[in-house]
Amino acid sequence: MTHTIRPRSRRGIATAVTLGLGLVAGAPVLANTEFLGGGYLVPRAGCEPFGWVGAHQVLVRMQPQGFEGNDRSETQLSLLLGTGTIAYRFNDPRAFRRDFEVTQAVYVWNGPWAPEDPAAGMYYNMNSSILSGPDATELTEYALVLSNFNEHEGCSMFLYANLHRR
Amino acid sequence: MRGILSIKNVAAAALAGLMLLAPPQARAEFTGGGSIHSPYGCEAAGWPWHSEMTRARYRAVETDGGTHSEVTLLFAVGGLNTYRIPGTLTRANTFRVAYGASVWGSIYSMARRPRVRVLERESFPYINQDIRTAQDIRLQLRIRNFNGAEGCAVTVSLVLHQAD
Repeated sequence: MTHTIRPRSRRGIATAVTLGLGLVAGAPVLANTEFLGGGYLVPRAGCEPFGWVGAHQVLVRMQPQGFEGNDRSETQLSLLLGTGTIAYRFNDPRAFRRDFEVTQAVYVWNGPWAPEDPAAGMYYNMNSSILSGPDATELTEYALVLSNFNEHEGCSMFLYANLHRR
Repeated sequence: MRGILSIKNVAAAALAGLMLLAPPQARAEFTGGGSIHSPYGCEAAGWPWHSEMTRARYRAVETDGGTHSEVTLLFAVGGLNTYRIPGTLTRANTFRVAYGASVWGSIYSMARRPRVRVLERESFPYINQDIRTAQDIRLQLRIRNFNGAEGCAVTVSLVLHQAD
């Protein structure tokens, strides 16, 4: 193991920067406002029959409605799991005790799958942070309950994440 | 169609489950992720320059013993940092000298030692739970000399889960 961070490390940083640029290029439109972060998914109930047990690390990116450059009534949320991706479009009520209206859910495991009428639903867990307004910069504890997770009937999953405005 | 896809999904989930079981001491380790943000003085290093997504692991002295806490960050961009911080990660107003190592194209030991300040470590949804039994926590650190880059400071905000 080396004890300096000289030339080789710079190359490491350069790699990181290159990869970072790749990610930026992959983002929808740069003028949009997005929140980036991560956290974990942990089953709440009914997920074991589908093979979902224990906590799963997840990267999260979200494009909240009403923020600069974003749609007024539609939020986009991507859950990047270690082995696949789930993405939703929904109308975020920004309030507790309200079911979100999920307009689209796309699942990418072996291939893309977008059910015509997704069974997936979601609502804010009672301890969740909620975006206060278009100047908000972070969600310290983004806590959602995802019902019919991954279109598994009766599987309810907790999502906990920390997100920061890019 | 849905049935076939479900089987694939289950397979993917099972694989993910196996991956979680792989590392030793996984039961006592906190796992999760969060964001790396508020960079200061990182321009010379060229990274990070805005919020970053990260996966994370945290090995707490209280649950795993030893003399050092360990926090590992697996960046979305494809590299990792691990920090060994003396003592427990209780909230403090001071920076502590830590050991740091990173893996990008190779293994690096951070010659410019990182300084870590614990901004927050709190259980949720109920605060003040014993870290040994708490299942869900927030952990927020300010790290100076981040990624071994002298003068570069970032804030790391994580949510983490400890299995039963």
